[in-house]
Amino acid sequence: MEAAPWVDAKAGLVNRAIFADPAIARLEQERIFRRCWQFVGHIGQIRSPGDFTAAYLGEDPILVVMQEDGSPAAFLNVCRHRGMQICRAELGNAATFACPYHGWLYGRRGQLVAVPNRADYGTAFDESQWGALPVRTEVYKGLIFATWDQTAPSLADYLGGMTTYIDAFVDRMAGGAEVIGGIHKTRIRANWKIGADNFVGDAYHGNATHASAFRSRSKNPAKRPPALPRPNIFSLPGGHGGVFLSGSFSFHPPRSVIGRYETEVMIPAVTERLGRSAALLQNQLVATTFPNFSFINSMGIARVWLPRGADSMELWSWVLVDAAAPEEAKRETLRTAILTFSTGGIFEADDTENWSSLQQTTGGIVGGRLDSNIGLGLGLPSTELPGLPGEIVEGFSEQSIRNYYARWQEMIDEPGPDVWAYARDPR
Amino acid sequence: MSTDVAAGVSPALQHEIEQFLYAEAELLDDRRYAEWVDLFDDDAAYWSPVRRSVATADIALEFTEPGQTAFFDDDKSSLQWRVRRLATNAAWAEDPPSRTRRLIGNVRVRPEGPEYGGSQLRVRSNFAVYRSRLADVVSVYTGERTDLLRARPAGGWGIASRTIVFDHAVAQGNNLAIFF
Repeated sequence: MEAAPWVDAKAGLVNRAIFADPAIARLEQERIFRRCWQFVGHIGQIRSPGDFTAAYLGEDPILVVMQEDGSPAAFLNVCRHRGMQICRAELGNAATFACPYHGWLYGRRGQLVAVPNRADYGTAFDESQWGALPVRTEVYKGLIFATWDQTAPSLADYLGGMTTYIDAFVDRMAGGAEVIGGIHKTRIRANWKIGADNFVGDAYHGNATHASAFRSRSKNPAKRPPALPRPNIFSLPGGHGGVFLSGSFSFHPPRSVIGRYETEVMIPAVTERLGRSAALLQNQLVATTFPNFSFINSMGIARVWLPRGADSMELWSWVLVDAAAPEEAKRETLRTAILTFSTGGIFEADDTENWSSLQQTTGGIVGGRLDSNIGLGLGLPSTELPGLPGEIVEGFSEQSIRNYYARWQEMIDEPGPDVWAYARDPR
Repeated sequence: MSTDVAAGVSPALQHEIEQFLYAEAELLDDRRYAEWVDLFDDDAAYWSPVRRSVATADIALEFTEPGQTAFFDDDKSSLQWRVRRLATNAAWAEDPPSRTRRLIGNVRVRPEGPEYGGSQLRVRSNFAVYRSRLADVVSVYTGERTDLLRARPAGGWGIASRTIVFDHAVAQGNNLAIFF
């Protein structure tokens, strides 16, 4: 299909067809998920040679496998013979991967090692041409990213200024972050972009969507939850963006295990290592790296929103903690992550419910053709915060959501390598 | 197959524990959450590992372990927060509330060590939970629970710990905003 201008960022409008039309979902597989760098796991998930973890680039299954040299390699988890999924396990350890159908045997890099009845293929058959399709991978501070696109810029150039914000999550303490075992996987009846745009800077939904979680936190029903401070919204070239709260807000009560860890250990350490600007980002930073990798640093949450057709997604969510944190703080971070932002989390459940309900209304011939309004804060001035890259707006603004969808439209419109121009410009 | 499960308890105790679990399920299906959470002891743990599809050779990796990611990792205090949330008239994942129907079966009762004199029981049960919400959003959750029940001084039983093992690898139904 021909790309159409579904996004009018200047007017703050997105046509809802992009959340529901199967043809658009196919187009974004080609123009976005075949090209962008996507998070596929943390290096701590694959510690020893042969450790593997399953992942997805869009709807394509891949395997990420630890090599002898301590680096990950990845390949399409599809047998070149007849298209069988080579490995059906989510994780494990293997020296080789044998396709269950006819027994084609692949190595840890996906190279074709052997085929049964080799002689009958004849001398013209070249194993080197029939390996599982390799995926380009790079690691940023333990985060493994992958892309099919050999013309895509380096991961560092792709992320650009986003690394400042990612560092405020995975490199705020010496020793960086470590992954806690296990991934929450949840099927949600909503288009994947709804989750990505929520995390790219939807500070606006918090008070309504999450009213129940905030109001019920105290055992005293008369106690009103404190008003959340104003958000800062940041937007970066490439569609990345996020939100962090101003002031010295923390979700965690000051005398809780995490509250004390934050104020007594982490914030001073961040300020010393990365400066005052990085400390500003510790007031709950929620962000999305285009297209579908999101995180919340104060909750230890990292996740991807994986497309499953136009009207459904799988949310995969990891918990990362500061490697240098005391065991007690790691434990409480995990418990808080599970209680708040997991499949049964008291914040997440209300998000996914609402997203599922808005997805339902795309089915109507009238409602499905409406534009979504992403015009909040149009015209708000941007501000400068030293040390923090990107355009920053203080206040409730959907600026980073507009930036996100503008990038989405740009990638949909431009099938060629010009789409990477932003990452090659000097920053 | 081990027969010590059947050998360990009297028909009367088996009956009593089954009735306890049915009554608990009734509280949840009737949305009497405040009464339900009172069944948990003050030091209770409510935990559900993440389950994964792995090869038989790696079957030890099927479940996450304590200290790793879980679907639930609650104490009584966080369970009470969940219960309070459902009473706010704004807990959208359960407001309008789901229509749930819990079927509890295969109840296996085993006394903890003789030092407890029958005051602590390890109870395994299977569940099937049908959840229908809004007009026609239906999810079915099946799994097994392992409970540690403690006799309460005033009579009856309290839940000292519950481990919930789901049969899914990817959770269905948008969320797990109900209790198991």
